[in-house]
Amino acid sequence: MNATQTPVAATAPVTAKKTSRHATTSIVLGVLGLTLTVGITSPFAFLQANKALAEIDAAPGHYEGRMLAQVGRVLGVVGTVYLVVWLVLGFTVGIGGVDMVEVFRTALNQAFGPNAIVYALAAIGLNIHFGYTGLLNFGQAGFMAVGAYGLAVSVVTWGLPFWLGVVVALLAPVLLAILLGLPTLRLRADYLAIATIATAEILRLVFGAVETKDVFGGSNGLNGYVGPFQDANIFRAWDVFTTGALAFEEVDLGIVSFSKRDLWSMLVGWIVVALACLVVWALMRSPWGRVLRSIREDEEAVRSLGKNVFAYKMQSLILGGIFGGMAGLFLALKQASVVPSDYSTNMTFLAFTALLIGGAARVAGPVIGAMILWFLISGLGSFFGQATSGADPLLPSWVMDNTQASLVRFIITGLGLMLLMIFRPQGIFGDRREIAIDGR
Amino acid sequence: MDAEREDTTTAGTAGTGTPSAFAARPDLSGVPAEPGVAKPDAIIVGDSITRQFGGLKAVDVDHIEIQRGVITALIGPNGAGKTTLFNLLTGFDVPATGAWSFNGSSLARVAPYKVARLGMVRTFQLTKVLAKLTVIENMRLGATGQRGEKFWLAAFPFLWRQQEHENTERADDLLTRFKLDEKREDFAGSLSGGQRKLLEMARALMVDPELIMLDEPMAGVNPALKQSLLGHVKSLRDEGRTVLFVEHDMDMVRDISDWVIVMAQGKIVAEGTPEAVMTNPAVIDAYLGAHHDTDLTEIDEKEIEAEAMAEIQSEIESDQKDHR
Amino acid sequence: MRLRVITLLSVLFFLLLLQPVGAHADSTAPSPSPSAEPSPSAPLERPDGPYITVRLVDAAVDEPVVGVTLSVTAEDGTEVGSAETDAEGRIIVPIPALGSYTVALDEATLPEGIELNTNAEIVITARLNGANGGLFPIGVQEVVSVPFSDRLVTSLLSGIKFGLLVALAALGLSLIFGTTGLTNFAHGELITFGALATYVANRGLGLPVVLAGLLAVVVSAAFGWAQDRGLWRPLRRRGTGLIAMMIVSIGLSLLLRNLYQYTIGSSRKSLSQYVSQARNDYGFIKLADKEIAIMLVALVAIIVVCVVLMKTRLGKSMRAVSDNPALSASSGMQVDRVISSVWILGTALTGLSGVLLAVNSQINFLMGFKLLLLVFAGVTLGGLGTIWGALFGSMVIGIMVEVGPLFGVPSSIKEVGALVVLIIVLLVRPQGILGRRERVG
Repeated sequence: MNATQTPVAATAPVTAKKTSRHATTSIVLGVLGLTLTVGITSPFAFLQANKALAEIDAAPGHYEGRMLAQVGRVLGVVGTVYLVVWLVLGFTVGIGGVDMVEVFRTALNQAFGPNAIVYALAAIGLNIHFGYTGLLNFGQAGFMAVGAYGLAVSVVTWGLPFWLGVVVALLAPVLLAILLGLPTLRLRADYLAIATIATAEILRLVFGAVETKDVFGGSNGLNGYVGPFQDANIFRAWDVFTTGALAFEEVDLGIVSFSKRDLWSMLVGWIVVALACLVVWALMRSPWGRVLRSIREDEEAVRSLGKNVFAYKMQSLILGGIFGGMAGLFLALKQASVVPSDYSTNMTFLAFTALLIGGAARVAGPVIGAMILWFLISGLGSFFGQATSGADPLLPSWVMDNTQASLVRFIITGLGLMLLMIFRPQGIFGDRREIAIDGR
Repeated sequence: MDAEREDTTTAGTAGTGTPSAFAARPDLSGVPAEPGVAKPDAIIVGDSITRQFGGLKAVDVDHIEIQRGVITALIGPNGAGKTTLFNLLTGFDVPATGAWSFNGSSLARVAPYKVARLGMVRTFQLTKVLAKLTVIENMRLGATGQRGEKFWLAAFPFLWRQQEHENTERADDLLTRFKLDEKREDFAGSLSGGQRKLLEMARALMVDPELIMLDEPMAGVNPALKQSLLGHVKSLRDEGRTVLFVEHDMDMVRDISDWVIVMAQGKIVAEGTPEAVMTNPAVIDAYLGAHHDTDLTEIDEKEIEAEAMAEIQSEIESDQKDHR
Repeated sequence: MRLRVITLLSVLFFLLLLQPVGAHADSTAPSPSPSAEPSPSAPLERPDGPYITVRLVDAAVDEPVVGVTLSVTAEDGTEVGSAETDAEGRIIVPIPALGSYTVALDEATLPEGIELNTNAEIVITARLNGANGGLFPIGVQEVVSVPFSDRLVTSLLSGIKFGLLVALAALGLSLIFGTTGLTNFAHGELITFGALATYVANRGLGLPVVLAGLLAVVVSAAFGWAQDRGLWRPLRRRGTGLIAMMIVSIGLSLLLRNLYQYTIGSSRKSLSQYVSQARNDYGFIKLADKEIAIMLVALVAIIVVCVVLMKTRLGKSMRAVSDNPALSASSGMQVDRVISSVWILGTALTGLSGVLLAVNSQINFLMGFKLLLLVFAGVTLGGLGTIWGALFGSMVIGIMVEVGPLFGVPSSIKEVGALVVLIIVLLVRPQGILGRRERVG
């Protein structure tokens, strides 16, 4: 994973005159702007096209693709105008039944809401694994699942008190990390990836199985364990204190509004996220963090200097796993039920996407990434949902019906993850020089 | 889960060049120049070490001893098994058979990091600097027994700041000595090939090893830097450390080594002072690949070739492993 | 208005790239016959909102079947709930919204001596706010209980069949991994691609299944070639790291999977021929004609590929590149060309696996993704990057999955057995059963 190219790539014949990369990028972004992304990528297409033209003009002997860049620029301009008109109209009068204010409100709601917290915690864990140590954990959903089920099973099935359940929920991922790490941490990185993804699937299947229904509740999962958490809701307590009665109305905070239950989850959740960031920040600036980053670079070198690489990897796996467990625990608390199908591989992949959006090996990267991811996912969901519903939808149903509309955001997420990895592997805040992935 | 168990070594005793260590170096002049000869004060003693790659014996050493406090060169044609022997001695590879000890304590099945803590530190043929860390961070990593590297203490800077400060001072001294002080804050990945070799050597010294093993320290170093690198290696001996190095550059071998061990086909075929070895017909034959009736067993050229391939293969494998 | 046209155009442009494949074919799901009015003694609590109710009846004796687990899945693949049939053979599952739901019957929970004779799944479109559903329109048949040895033979045969299908895909994955080092998480979607292409050629173009399958293999190969040329080769040229490429493949997987669902919906589809074939009794074993055909085709394909890899010049250069790309390049091999061939061969094999799966059972947008982990398991079990290892590992996985339930693996999660074996093998012999020993730290 260092700067050296793979042997295969190294042998690729070098053409004398190559197409400017920026030109290609601008075309791709321009076309996307006029199709999938509703103009959001168009300004970038314009910028890339300008870069390409500058590059080509600076060294005409080296690059070609002038034509391509110019097309990209035109597409970019058209798309940008389109985007601006869209936004202006969308925010003022609404177009074809799509209320852009509503779309924005939904998106913002989710960017700060409990879902973003779940993914932020999961991605903080992955950041420790992947961003700092270079461990490929593709089973974060498994760590989340044992966290969530740790609480639910303790309280519902075993009848333990709530706080003991929380302790179990935090210990379960430690145990899982040790069990997973012992066989795989001595092996090549891809073995860990396969072992973790397999373990996460095993856990999900076992938790959802008919045969284990007595313990894990089958595919309907478990509920009825959040009482103490909800009782501690200070927003409700405040109501009782001031008005003498429980009030359940939404709390309106300008553009966004949350229920008191969500507000309580969010208060707890964001405090936990902040503490997690603090821990990561404190650890990663220490010599301990330096060893982790060195292992990411070259573990043999670290070994040759007398460091027990295996122990450090294990500590990293455990610590990141605990944050994964916290994510699962928080999910279990905020939605008051644990359902096995939540903990699918997709969840891990989305958490990875959040991490990569924000930037790996940056303390705030996973948090910002999770917020952006949820902003986009719910914004797109709301937009396409509105565009395909109602009596006269913006998009006729033969193009896209309501069910299909719910898929568009995931199609875009997939595409976005690819483009991000190809063109900006360091994410938004990442330092290109300091990531496990070598994009160049 | 304590990463840094207490340092069991006495690496510090090698110290930085106490005159007594210097004086205590017994003379090698009386040692006969024959393969596997016993040394008066051996720091490493190895017996019947073998390692195979797909049916070919890459290393097949009956007996090897490395004298303390001198510079020993390990030479031999490509594919002779030098790097493999290095890997075996330092625990980075596991031999099929064999026993070897460092300062009298057995190293069989001892993990590489423990070998390093015992005071036996190596560098790599393909330099392994941590490209995305700065030069000074590379150096700090080398220090052993760091409190701040323990998980439970890491989050509390007041517990390790003092030690970190001392390590940094030591690192800065070394950087100045190796003329890397101007690169202090640069990413190690931005250094030239020769500077990387220097950094790797300096970083190894942060461990304060008694024995330092250099795998081709001259490979890829530009001629201007070579002279200063030679000086650095000599200075290591002069401060009381033992140096074992693999090298192809015969000038370097002649210039600085006190003792030379020649390997071919995985076996030690000759030993002696540089002068004695350079005139040894077995050595010349080993390099030319010619048949010789006494010292060398029948050399099948194809076999040598295949063996060389096996070694290259293993290097590529480990190289690829690093890329994954 | 103008804006709207632009939006439409842009969406259209996108859809043209997609070739909408019989979208909304799922709306042909059987319309539910409204359930009989709940008898006053109905023990089940009826939810306020919409719910699905299903009654399971043994057609032979016209009696309700009790204690069978049925699960309800929404169109996006998320499970809504499951329940066991009560004394009247009835389940009630509340659903979050109106729409199409798949009701699947867990065959393992059928009482001893009863066996299904058709599919274990039906699609129900919920239109009413109250009860939705009706009789489960599948027959339940009485069979005599089977001795263990017979069940073992049957399971072994299904295991071999399943193993061969996994092996085809695993061979494809292993070839691509071996030559390019890419751990391709979008490989499952290549399996689905083969199945979908068959479906389109069969139902859309009206070709017979055999021809459709052949066409699908060719299209899969073309898809593989295009993918390499359009995506992976440029990435290799840029020197993109292997881990970055792995993550790109995760994005691609997400993209393709949702595109599949976008075009064909989430319900299961069947081909026009060979859907439900009775099994012929060959004395010791019982096999349907199509099962024999599937096994033969898979076996022949694997043998042909192995011969190609062993004997031909192309095969030798593939193995050379796989063993050592740098060395092959320096000895004058055109590595890019070899990799292109590997992609074509690999995706053709994987597509064939999808075709055979489609013939064997049904087509669904998730089918490849569900198989991906087992394919990975097969490849890892045998030893990463070795061809014989992939074959051997896949057979072990296939047989483990099918035979496991006879030895106590819960049959509703029979994949678990194979995955546990994978992890145990990693523990004991990390290089895989046939893999070369890696130097491990």
